[in-house]
Amino acid sequence: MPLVAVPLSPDHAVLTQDFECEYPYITGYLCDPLRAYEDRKTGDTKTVLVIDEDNNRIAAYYSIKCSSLRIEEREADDTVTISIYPTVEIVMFAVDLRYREMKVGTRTFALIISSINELRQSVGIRAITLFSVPKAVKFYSESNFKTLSEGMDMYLHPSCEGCIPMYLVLPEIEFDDDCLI
Amino acid sequence: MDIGKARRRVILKTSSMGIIKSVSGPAAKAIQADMKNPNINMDVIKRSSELAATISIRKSSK
Repeated sequence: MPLVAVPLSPDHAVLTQDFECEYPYITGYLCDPLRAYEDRKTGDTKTVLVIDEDNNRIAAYYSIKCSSLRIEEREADDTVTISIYPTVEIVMFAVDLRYREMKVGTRTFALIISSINELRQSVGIRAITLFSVPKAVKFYSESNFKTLSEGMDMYLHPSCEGCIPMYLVLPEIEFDDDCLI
Repeated sequence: MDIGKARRRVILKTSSMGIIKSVSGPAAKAIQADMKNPNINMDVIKRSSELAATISIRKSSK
């Protein structure tokens, strides 16, 4: 199936209304014109649509933003070391109900990982984080994402009650591939 | 409205579903161990890069 990834823009207002995934909150983030568009305008998130070109329909979408992981380690002598790692958070990722079981999710997720890895040519990113619905933990684990729970302190949006924080540490940078400024 | 209660309420206004403030304890040790051995995920990146190539990219909607 030919898929094309394109950044969300006001031109997609009609197309987004047709999108529906399993979770109303995630559907609403894209379909409610004030949310994904506003977050793009303010720079809070970047949303990308993955479009099925044959049917001119959104098969999947994702939104990402900068974030960070603050790690506190208490040593035997009670010294506390605080490390802060720059991360990118996958804020939203969903596949339209009509495109499930067609590898659209796997291909789109690969695009997300690959895009974030490419961003490292321009900005420091140590890991990718996300909040997974319980059902999707297995999917993310297959890409080496690990769950986080014990010792977590976080703000949680009411809509993601029960979501599981996960992370993937990115490999070291190959200096040969490093580009520009 | 009970003013005391209102003052205690925290409203999270964010585009994100949640924000990790900090990690400590065993989870922190696990992440730190991964941070010291990041190349275990090299294959994930390579696989993702190959699979991502099956989606064409258009920089604008025009």
